[in-house]
Order: sequence, then C-alpha cells, then structure tokens
Amino acid sequence: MSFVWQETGGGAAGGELHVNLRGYPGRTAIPRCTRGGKDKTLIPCFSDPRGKVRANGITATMFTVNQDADQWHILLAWRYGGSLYTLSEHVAPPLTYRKVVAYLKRELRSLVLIEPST
Amino acid sequence: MKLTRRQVVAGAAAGAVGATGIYELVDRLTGGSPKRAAAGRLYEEQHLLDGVRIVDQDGVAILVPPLHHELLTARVVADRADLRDARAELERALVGLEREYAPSPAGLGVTVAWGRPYFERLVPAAWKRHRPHDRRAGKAALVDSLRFPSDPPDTVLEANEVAILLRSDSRDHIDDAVGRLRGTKTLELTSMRRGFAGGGFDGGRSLPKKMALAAGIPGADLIPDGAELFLGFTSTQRAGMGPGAIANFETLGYVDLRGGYFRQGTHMHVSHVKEDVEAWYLNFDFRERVDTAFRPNLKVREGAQTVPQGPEDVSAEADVHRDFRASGRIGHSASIQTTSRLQQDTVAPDGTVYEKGTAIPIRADFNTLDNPFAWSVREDEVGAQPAAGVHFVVFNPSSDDFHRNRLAMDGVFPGGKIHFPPRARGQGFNAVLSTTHRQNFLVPPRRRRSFPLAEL
Repeated sequence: MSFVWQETGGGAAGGELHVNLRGYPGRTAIPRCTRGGKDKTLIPCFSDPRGKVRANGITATMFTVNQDADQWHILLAWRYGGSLYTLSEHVAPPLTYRKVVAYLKRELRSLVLIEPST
Repeated sequence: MKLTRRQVVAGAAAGAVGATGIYELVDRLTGGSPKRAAAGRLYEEQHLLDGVRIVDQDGVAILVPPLHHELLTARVVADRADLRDARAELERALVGLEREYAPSPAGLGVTVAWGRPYFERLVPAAWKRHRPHDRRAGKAALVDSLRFPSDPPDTVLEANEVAILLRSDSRDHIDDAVGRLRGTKTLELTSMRRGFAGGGFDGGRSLPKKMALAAGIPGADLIPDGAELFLGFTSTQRAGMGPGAIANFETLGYVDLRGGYFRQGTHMHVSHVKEDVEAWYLNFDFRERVDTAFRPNLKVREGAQTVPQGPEDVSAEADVHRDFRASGRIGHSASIQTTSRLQQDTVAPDGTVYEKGTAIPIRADFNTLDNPFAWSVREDEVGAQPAAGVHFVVFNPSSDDFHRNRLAMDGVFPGGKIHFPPRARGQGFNAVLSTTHRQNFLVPPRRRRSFPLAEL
C-alpha cells in the first residue's frame, strides 16, 4: 500500500510526501533488487541498517539505503507471523532525515492490526 | 571551550543566516587549537608545511592537517610601473608574518600563488622567457584548467591573478594574516574561501560531522561519526600524499625550468566542489561506497573509515578496466592512482629515490560550508545557506599532471577511455559531486613569491 501527496516544493522531488507500507506474506528474508539501469547485479533491497525502533509491540530495524520504490526512503522492516513487513518514507524537501525518522516512529506507533475476516 | 547541547542547537540556527559566521564554531566544537609543537622549518618550497602531526588509525599513518584554512583570491592593484614597490610592500608583510608565526600548523602556513592572468598582463616578456615548460605534455607547465567530463557545463573557469592559501590551527593567526595582506594595498580581493580540516582523530564524533549537523546540511545525520570528510573515509593518509619535494617542478624531470627561475616552485590547482551528502548516504550502501571510493570488491571491515592505500595497494590501468568490465564501476582511488602514483622507481636530481607506487600530488584540500565562497566581489557567489563541499587544493608538478589525474577520475586514461555517461553512478563520487569553480596557479619558490619576475 502506498500513499503519495505532492505539493510544490524545492528539489528534484520537492514537496512530495511518499509513504510505502508493504507486506511479504510467507517470507521473512530481505528481498533482492537491482540498482536499476544496466547493472543487473542482485543486491538486498534494504541495506545499511541503523539501529532498532520499538513501538506498538513491534521491533523494527531501520535501513537507510533502499532500492526500487523505496529508493531515497528511510525504511523500517520487521517480521510478524512468518512474514516480513516494511514501512518507508521518502526523504525530500520540506522533510529532512530527522523529520522522516520522527514521522516513521509515529506511523509505526499508529499501525492497527486488522485480522483477516474470513 | 566545549559547546553545550543548547549552543549546538543555536549553531544550527546560525546556519540559517549563512555560512560565513559558522566557522566560529570550529574552535568551540573542537575545544580550541590542538596541542602541537610550535616550531617548524621554513622550507624554500612554499607549499610544504612542517610540524604536521602523524597519528595511527587502524595501522595506517594519517597526517593531521591544520584546523583552519582560508584561501584568498585577488587581482593586482599596481600597474607595471609600480610593481617593484608593490613587491617590496607584499614581501615586507610576508616576512613580518614569518617573524610572528612559526611555519607550522601551530603558527601559520602561507602559500602565495600566481595565475596566468598576472604573468600575461604585468610581466609578459619575462614570463615568455622564464615560464616552465612541461616536456611530457609539450606545453607550458601552467595552462588554464580544463572543464572535465564530469563537471557541470556551468563550472566557472576562473581568471584570478593571485591566490593565497593560509593554514593554521588558530583562526586568529589567519585573521591577522588577512588583515596584514590587505593592509599592503597591493591586492584587491576577489574572493575569500574558508573551511576546516581534521578534528576527531583522537576518537569521538569528527569535526566535519559536527559542523554539518550545526549547519543543518541535509544528510548530516548519516555521516559516520569518525569521518574525516563529509563523504566519509580518511583521506589524509601519509602514503596518499606526495613526500618531500616530489611535486616540485624539477623533481621528476617532467618540467624544463628554462634557466631555473622557478626552481623549488610547483603548480597549484584550486577548485570548489559541492557534495550532495544526502544522495551519497541514501543511495550508496557501504559496499557500494567502498567499491566506488576505492576499488570494486575491495575487502574491508563493515563500517571502516580508514582503508590502506600504500604503494602495494595501488591499481594499474589494466586493473581499473578489468574491474569495470566485471562490475560496471571504477574506484575513485584506483582510477586516480593510475596517473598519480609513480609507475617505476625514480631518482630525483638531488639523489632522492622515490619508489614505484609513491604518490606525486600533495593535497591541501579542506571541508567547507561555503556556498560556494565565504565572500566574493560577485554577489551570486555567496549563497545565503551553507552547503557541504570541499575547497580542493592540490600541488602537482604541472597543470597537465593534475589534468591527467582528474581525467583518470572520470575514466579517461592515457591508454584508453572507459565509456560511461558523465556523472554515472558507476563513477561513485562523481554522481554526487558538482564542481562550481576551477583555476590553475603557479607557486614560486619562497624567495620569489612576491610579484615574481617583476624585478627583472
């Protein structure tokens, strides 16, 4: 699930608020990505771990270098019920790295678990 | 004096009003000038600075540069008829500084360099007779800087007549020098460029990271705590710096001194390079940063900042081509080493033996928050917001020697070219660096540093 809000702002992606919430059902390993362009080498989609964030009963690892739709995002990843979940947000003006980390923590705190109804 | 947390936050607020005043934080963030031996030997080579401390980091010898740096550019006020008087006046001021301050980081290092516009406007006939000639390149040892393949199209190729590099652990010493040099009224400043180097060598959070945080640089939080530069990694390794007089015009035999007027002189390149710190740390993981800063697939400890670059670690052109074919990348150090390190043992005219793999350039670059300059006669050269960058200052035996190194950084080697688009990701640093200004200068020997050739 992805949320994007764009307003006029400075920089290449200025004014963009972009949040991704993703689940990888039935798998917990970090997926593999390419860096894009002609380089087809497979690398972890999330790398450069930078500590843990704990909220809402979740212990997530924060990654600062991410690929594909999470490129230029700060990403939180955690495992739950045999699946991998990620929450990421784009670092772009007017947001700074610190602001994005603060937002991610708030978003993690605000997550509500919805069990399948059937 | 150490900063309190509140003062650091106040520093961040200061960043919002411009870079100029932010360098006051250097002393406060480092607790003042480091302890060093005050004395120093005054070399005939202006570009050599004695008393530079050497520390060990992960078994690698690291030079600790002076804390404060300032580079002035200027035009000459005097006309041809008044040059001798101007020469006496400037020399008096420089000798006064030498009497006052030891030629070391604890005192003051002064390097006076002259641009081609000075020689051609004010001493054209003598310049024609005495200008050093680069035998290897088949042209003058001082030529205008190129605009390199990874440079933006709007990189300014400057035409200053003079550049003066001031280096000291003491901001006061530099301020005093600037005041005295201006007081000679022989030069009219065109720009002032400020910055800092070192800090953090004794452990803890490094000065560049503290300064970037205080200035509110995007991505500052992501700079590794011990980084010597905004882009991480330790750059002032002793093995990566040309030793002794290797960068002198006469040492390696590249340059014909045509009578020897400029013997013990050298060439200086000056550029300002903006660094996109955030792009570097958000898009390049540690592995890719190592691959493109040093060499693809180089084995280093995760998080290491100091990576040995001794003569035995040097890459040849064939290695760089091979790595590119295998990985689509070139390492910054590996590519530059193909031209910046001696390809064979070399004996200098004074009998000094320089071994294969020895570095030739002597770098004097420094971190900056100028955007792009601290002050300039041109208003558009002084940005309101601080910006992370480097004032790149390097001494080579000739303009061509510097150009070879810089072209190699772009994958252009004497023996062939690696074809990638300018600023391609596979070039690492080049994808996040953006050069705003460049110029080449000639550094005369100390005895001829003031208005060279004017006395003839």
